[in-house]
Amino acid sequence: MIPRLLTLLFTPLALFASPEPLPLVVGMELSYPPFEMTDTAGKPTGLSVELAQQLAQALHRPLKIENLAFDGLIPALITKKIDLILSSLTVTEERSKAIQFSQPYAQIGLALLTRKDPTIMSAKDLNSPDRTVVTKRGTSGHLAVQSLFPKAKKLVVDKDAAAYLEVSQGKADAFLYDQLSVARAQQRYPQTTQALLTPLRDEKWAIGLRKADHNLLQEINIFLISFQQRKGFDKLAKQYLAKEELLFRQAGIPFIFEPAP
Amino acid sequence: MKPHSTPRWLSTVSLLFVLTLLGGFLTASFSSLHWEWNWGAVWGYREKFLQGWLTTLLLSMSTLALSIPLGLALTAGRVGGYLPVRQFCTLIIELVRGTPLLVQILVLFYIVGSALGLENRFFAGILILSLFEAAYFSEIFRGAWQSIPQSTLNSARAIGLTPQDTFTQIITPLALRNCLPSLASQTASLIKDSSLLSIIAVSEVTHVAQEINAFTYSTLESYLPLALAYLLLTAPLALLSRKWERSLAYAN
Amino acid sequence: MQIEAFQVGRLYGELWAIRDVSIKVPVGEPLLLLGPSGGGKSTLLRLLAGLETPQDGKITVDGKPLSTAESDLRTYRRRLGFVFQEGNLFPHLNAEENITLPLIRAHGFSQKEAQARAKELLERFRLLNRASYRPAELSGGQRQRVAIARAMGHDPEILLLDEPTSALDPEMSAEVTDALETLSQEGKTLVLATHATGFARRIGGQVAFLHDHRLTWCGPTKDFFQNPPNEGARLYLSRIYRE
Repeated sequence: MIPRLLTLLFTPLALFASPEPLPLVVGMELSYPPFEMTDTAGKPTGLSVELAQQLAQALHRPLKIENLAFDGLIPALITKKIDLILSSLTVTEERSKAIQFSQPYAQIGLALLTRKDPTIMSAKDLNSPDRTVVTKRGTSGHLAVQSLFPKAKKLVVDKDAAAYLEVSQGKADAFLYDQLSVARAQQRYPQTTQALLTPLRDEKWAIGLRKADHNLLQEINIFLISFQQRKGFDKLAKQYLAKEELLFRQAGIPFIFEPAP
Repeated sequence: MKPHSTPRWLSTVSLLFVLTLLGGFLTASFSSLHWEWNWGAVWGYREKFLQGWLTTLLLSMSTLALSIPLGLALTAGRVGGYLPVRQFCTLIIELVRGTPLLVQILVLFYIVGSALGLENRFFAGILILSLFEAAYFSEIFRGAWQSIPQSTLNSARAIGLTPQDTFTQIITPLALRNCLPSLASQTASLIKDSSLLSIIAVSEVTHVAQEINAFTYSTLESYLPLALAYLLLTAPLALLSRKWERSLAYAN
Repeated sequence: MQIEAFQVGRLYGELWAIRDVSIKVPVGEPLLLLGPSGGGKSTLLRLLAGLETPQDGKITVDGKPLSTAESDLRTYRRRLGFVFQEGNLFPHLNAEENITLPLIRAHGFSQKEAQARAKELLERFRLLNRASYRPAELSGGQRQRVAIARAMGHDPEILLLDEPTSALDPEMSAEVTDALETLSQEGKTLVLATHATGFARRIGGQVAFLHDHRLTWCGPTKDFFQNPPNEGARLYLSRIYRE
C-alpha cells in the first residue's frame, strides 16, 4: 500500500528529468596495439580508446565502444550501427566516396615488413612476379597494393596476426602496412623479419562519420583542434608510443603526431 | 504405403505463397535498413566472382574425391584390423570431429604444414578439408554398415557365401543404399565448409566476396550473390537427397 | 549323405543350450525336432547345419568328423539347404536374384544356368509371376516359399528348416507346409524344428523331442502323438492342444 503511494507520488517528477543523452557509439577493431587493444581483463584500452573517451567527454555523451572487424567498420557506420569510426582509419579517395572524414589527427606512412632475406633491400625488389605481398583486407595497404606492386603476387588475409605469421614463416615476402605496426612487428619477430620503414605513401588518419552528420563533424573538428592545442596528443604519445618515437627518430622518420611538413 | 497425395497445382500454389511470404519478410527487413543499393560497383567484379565460384567448385570436387576413399579407409581401420590400427583411426576421427574446422585449418596450415614444408595453399586446403570431411563420412559409413541386420549376415553364411562375396554382394550394396541420403547432405556441408578456407587466403568465392565488399563497401550486394552462389551448388544435392530418401523408403 | 551327432553339447556363456545329444538324421524321411521354446531345437538344428560348432561331442558326415574350420564348414553348408524362421531374403534383390546369387557365387553356375534354375523353382512354387518382386513386396508366405526355393537351388540332399511357419498366420502357413509336404513326398530329407504339430503328424517320419536342453525321446512320429512317451512330452502336447 505504502510503496504504491510513494511510486504514485514520485512518477510525475520523472517528467521533469532531462532526457538521457544518446551514447556516442564508436567502432574500432581492438587488435591494433597500442592504439586499439584490450587489457588482460578484456576492457578496451589504447591510444584511440583514450582519445575516444576525451572526445565523448567533450561532447557530453556517454561512450560506447563496439569491437568490430576492420573491414566491417564502414558498413557498420553506413547502416547506423555505429556513429563514428576511430580506428586509425586512413583517409582515402575511395573511402571518401562512402563516408566523410574529420580533419586528420595523425600522419603515418605505408611501409613494409619483409622476410629476413638479403635479396630484399627496398620496395623495388618486391615488384616482381616471384614475390608475394600480403595485405590485410579493407586497409589502405590493401587498397594501394595493386598500384604499388602491380607485378607481385598478392595475398589478402583478414587479421594482422595472420599477416605476421605469413611473413615470419616465409609464406609471403612482405606485409604492406603502416610504419608503426611494421616497426613493432619487427621487434616482435627479430629473427625472421626486417622492417623497411621508408614510407611508400604518406597517409593521414582521421575520424570517420556518415556524410549527413554535419553537426557532429563540426563538434569533432573543434575538439581535435583544442586537444592539439592542449598538447593532448603529445601526452598520449608519451604514454603509449615512447619506444616507437625513439625508433622513428633513430630512423630519421617524422613521428605520427608531428604536423606535416 | 503412399501418403494422401496433394494435387500438383495445389502444392505449387502453396509453395509460391510460402516463397512470397519469405520474400516479403526479407524485403521488409532490407528496407528498414534504408540501404542504398549499389549493384553497379559489385557488377564490375563479376569476373573475379565467377572465378572464385569455379575455385569453390573445383575445391569441393577434389575434396569429395579424396575424402570418400579416406573415410572408407578410416571406417575399415576402425572396424576391422589390429588393435593399434583401430585405436589410431578412432583417435583421428574423434579429434577431427571434436574440434572446429577453423582451428584445424589454422593449426594444420600454419603449424603442421609449415613444418612439413607444404607451400601451395590450394592443395593444403584440399588436404585439410578432406581430412575433416573424411572423419564425418567415416561415421556415416560405419552407421550404414552397422545397420545391416544380423539376420541378413546369417543368411549369407548359411547359403555358403565367402566373406569376400558377402562383403561385395550383400554388405556393400545394402550399406550404400542406407547411407546415400546422408552422403548427399554431408557433401552439401562439404561445399559450405570450403568457405572457411578463406581464412588462409584461398581465393574461393567467400574470400572473393569479402574482398569485393572491402573495395566497394557494398556489403549486401556482395553477400547476397554469395549466398546464391552456394545455393546453386547445394540445392541440386538437397533435391537428390530427397529423391533417394523417397526411393529407399519404398524399397523397405 | 549321412549326418550323425554324438553326444553334442553347445555352451553359450555359462549355459548349455543342449547337452549330451546323440541323433542320426534319417535318409529320405523327415526328422522333426519338437519341444518347448528354449529347449534346444534351434541349437541342434544349427549344429547339424554347420552354422555353429559344438563344445562337447562331435558331428560326423558320412562317418568322417566334421571339421570346425570355417572354410570347411562353408563347403559343408553348400551341400545343404537352410531356411530361417524369418526367411532372411536379401532385401535389395528380387525373388529371382535371391535364388540365383548363391547358385552363381557359391555353386559355380553361369548366369544363364542360374536364371533357368530359378525360373524352374519359382514355377514349381507358383511364384513365377512374382520373380521380379523384392521381398518387401511379397507376403510372408511368399517370402518363405522363395527362401525354400533358394535353399533348394542347388538340389541339396538335405533341407534344414528352423520353425519355417512360426512367423506366419494360418493361411500363409498352409502354403508353406503344403510345399514342404510335396518335397518330402518326392523323397527329400527334411530336418525340421517346428511347433506346427498338425503338419508334423501328417508328414510322418521321426520325432526327436528336446526339452530341458536334452534329447528325452526319439522315435516314429505316429508313436509320439498317439502315446506321449514321457511327462515332458505330455505337458508339451497338452499346452499345444489347448490352443
